[in-house]
Amino acid sequence: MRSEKKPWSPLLCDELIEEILSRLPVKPLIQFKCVCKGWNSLMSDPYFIKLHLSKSAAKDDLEHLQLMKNVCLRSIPEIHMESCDVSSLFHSLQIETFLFNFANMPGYHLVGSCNGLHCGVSEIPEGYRVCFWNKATRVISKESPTLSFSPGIGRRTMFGFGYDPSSDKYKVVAIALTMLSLDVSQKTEMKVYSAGDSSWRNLKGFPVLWTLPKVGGVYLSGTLNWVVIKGKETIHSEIVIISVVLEKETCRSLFLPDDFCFVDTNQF
Amino acid sequence: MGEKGESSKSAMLKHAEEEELNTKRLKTVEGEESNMVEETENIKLKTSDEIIFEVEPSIVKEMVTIQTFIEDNNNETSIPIPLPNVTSNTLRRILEFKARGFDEEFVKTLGMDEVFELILAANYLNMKTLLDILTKIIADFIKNKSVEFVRKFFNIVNDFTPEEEAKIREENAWAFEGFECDD
Repeated sequence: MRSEKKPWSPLLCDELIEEILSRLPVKPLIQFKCVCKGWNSLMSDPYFIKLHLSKSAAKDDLEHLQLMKNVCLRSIPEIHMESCDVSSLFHSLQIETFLFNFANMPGYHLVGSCNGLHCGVSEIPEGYRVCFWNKATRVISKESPTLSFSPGIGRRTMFGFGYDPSSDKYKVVAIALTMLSLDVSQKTEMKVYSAGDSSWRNLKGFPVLWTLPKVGGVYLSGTLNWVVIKGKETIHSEIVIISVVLEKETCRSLFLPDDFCFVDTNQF
Repeated sequence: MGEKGESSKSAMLKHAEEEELNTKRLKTVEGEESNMVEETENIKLKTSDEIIFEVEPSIVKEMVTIQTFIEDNNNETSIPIPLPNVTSNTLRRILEFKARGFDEEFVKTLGMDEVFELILAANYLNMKTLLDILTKIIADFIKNKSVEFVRKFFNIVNDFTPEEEAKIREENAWAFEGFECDD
């Protein structure tokens, strides 16, 4: 395929140039989109993007890692993110954090990050929308179709964002606990959205929850995971890990080890 | 016994004459028998300018292209293996680089023309470690350079119209902020 095209340079073959470019930081790469049409389309080529990501991830330095802290300012689930360079934790005496706002888009809050892509959620009267932002290249996606849950008198939500290697897609999982009426019952719903799709889908096999997980989903090898309390918070409560397999969009519960106990972090 | 005597003799030989062996390795042998003592058979490589090098098998192992060739030919190593894409100067540099433990600082003393030749040879010979180092050196060299410099560097023709290029620059103006150094 590539050998039929005219090579970019008479000095080096395209593959060698790609190897060199994949080792560059993002800023010069964006500048070099101007070098020629071939380089411009290379920067949007999924193969090259993965190559570049693999080189960044393999670096020994920690320049590409950021630590994000959830700062809940009010009781409503509005998340204000502070972030700092992981490398600065090792090298600086004073840690500088900066407020992370989601692409300067009003109404959007960060709910997850994966491979340098950030996922933001905004609440609208009909429900919610998500959108994706690559902070390094400053590219923002279109807003997703509306996510809606069963109507009720009150609702709380929690999200997770991860990458499914089998379909090469980024997916968002949304969990909602809706109080349907004044009696105690709450409805649990879990939905999933693949970037670029035209609608949200229900997850299969999710359990009934009584409380929402306190933090967003942890992404690990194609799964998103939350620690939850499954069952009423009385005698038979079980603390489990809800694990969503992004490939199949199914849900399973993982039990914690027998000697597991929560540590009260307020003590530290 | 006889074998033991020979192996300790070769150990002494390797130890005492390591430096000399290094230079002998780099010496060119034109169609003559080598006068090196060989416990393990060195591999003969013939560069594009018809010069034959004798290279230790451990070094040839890093040249995956050659190693595969040897294995595909039943480990037949008596005939010199032709390297039509590698000159003697380049091969000499590669062996020198290897002897110095792939010291990056050494490569930085070479001119960019030579670095390009090295990288093409490393690619042809499929030497992963050498390729990693060379691509990194070139990446570090160009990362602070201007678009015009990079075009000249790689000899790339700009196929954008001025309007097209201006549009890309404008869309990504944030990336062009900051000091650009072309020295």
